[in-house]
Amino acid sequence: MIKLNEVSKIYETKHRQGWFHSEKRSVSAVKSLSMTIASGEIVGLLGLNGAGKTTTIRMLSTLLEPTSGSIEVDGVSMATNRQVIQQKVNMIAGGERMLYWRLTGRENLQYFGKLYGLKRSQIEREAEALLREVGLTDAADQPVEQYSKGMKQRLQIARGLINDPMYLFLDEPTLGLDAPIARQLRSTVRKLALEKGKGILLTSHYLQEVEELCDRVYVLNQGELLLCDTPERIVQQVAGTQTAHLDVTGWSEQLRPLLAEQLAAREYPAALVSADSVGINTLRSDEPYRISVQTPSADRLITELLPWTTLHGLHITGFASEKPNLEDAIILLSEGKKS
Amino acid sequence: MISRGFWLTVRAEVSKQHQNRTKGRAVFFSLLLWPALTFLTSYYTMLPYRTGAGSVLSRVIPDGRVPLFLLSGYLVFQLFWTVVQAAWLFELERKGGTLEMVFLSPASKMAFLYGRSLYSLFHGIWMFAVFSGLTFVFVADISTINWLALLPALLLIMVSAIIWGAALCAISLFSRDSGLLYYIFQAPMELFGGVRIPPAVFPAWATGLSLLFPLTYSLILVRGALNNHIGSSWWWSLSILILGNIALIAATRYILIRAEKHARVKGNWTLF
Repeated sequence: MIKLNEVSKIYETKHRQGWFHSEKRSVSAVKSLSMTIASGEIVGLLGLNGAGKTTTIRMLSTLLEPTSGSIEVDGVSMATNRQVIQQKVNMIAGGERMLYWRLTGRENLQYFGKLYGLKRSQIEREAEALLREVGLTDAADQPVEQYSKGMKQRLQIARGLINDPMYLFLDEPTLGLDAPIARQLRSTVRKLALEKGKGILLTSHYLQEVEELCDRVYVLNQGELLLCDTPERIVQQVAGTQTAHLDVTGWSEQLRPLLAEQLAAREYPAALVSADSVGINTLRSDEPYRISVQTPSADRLITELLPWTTLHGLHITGFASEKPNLEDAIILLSEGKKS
Repeated sequence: MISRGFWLTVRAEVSKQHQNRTKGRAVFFSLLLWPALTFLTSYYTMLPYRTGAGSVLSRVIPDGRVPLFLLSGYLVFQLFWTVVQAAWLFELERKGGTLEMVFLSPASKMAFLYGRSLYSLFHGIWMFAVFSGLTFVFVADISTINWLALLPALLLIMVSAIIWGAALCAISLFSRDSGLLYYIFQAPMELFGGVRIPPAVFPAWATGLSLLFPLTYSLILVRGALNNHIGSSWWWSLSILILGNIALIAATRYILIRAEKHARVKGNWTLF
């Protein structure tokens, strides 16, 4: 298990002011972050730009040193045993960097395998298996510069696995990839956790991806941990309610306060979002209207409102519900923090 | 004691450099052209000048040995210059993000630097060495060559070039602009190191500068062995070169540790 205990990272930067003077500034990128990543678990790290995600991943992968706090990987302290930890972790970033373009896919894997001290036979075996796993067997002996973006990204995954790390850090792994390739990558990531028991930390701007893959999500904002929970519970906690839409005919404006009263009586205070004409805004009562209501359960609402609509001569022509997603939750969380 | 992991990393780096920098045999052969042309330019520039008895050059270049003087100068210069290029090319690794991937691994970073330097030496020098070897046979007076001094001296010079290259790699690894290596080491090293003009004819300040380059001592060793002049200056140069190598290894290690620490704290690889 990876344990981060009260980890902070402060960058000291110098800003030149003329030839001879410079001003020192401190930027707190991560503030007292505590988190865990267990084997076989996919953990998401979310937040808007500048939240501290990349800094956290770089600290975990030993490229950065925390200013304070401690990081332990399977009980081994990073401060004193960096090399031991480097054998157990690896990082994969999105984009097309971090590979030698003039080398073939196989040569890239062989080189990185040697850096991890693997034996020649082991490297050959691992490289072959990984190339097969990411679907690059046919292109294994082509220079990387001839690869498409998706192929490069898949090779990145293979590179990140060459040392068979226990923990893998994925920084925007599907950045700029086409949907089918991104889906294939997601399936690979899921397999790595479920079948191979690897602990995975994932950052992504595609929140649907995080929602789909992650067991738990840490939400950061300006370096601070705001929340940690399952994606579903975060959505529930933050975005909370669903929006139910009822399309009705026979609506009149006199019904608006009555509906509000009805909803308040059913413990949905201030839940009436709107009641607007769907089509051209006319005063004809046969014009379809859409009543939008925020509710913890759209199904329950419709059951409860059905007698009331019948009583007031409303005819329900349609029903839809809108569930908030992780994106809504993250935006709400970040905005809430700012305000 | 150097571990097995160190050699593995050196070998990995040499093989990667070979795959990365040489995708075609023509590249190897083209490497001969530039130093050979530079040599010919220098040779024909010096040809019209008097080198015989009583000339300034006759004090330092034995009569009729200008081609040998220049050839030995360029061969040794080439050894040191090709490794400067290894350092100079480091910027590409930083821009490509591959440098971080190397530093993410548990591999010895010293081995990484020495591997780069070693391959550069091989990459840049081999054709010129063949060319020079053949020319020595025709230009040098084999009877005057002190082989017992020449062969170990050449070996030591190659080791020194690798050590020098690794030190420069360490510097350029954490420097904002590795182009500075080109400006500092190309023309000044060629001029003050004594490739074309013997340092003995320089004014004192220039002689002082020449002492900073391992190339200067290397040339004294090679030319001394070629002309069988193994005097006290030869032994001094040998000692200084060996001590200099030890100091450079220590300096490389220090720069590497310091700059790596800097990168881990500051989050960037620019130490200076």
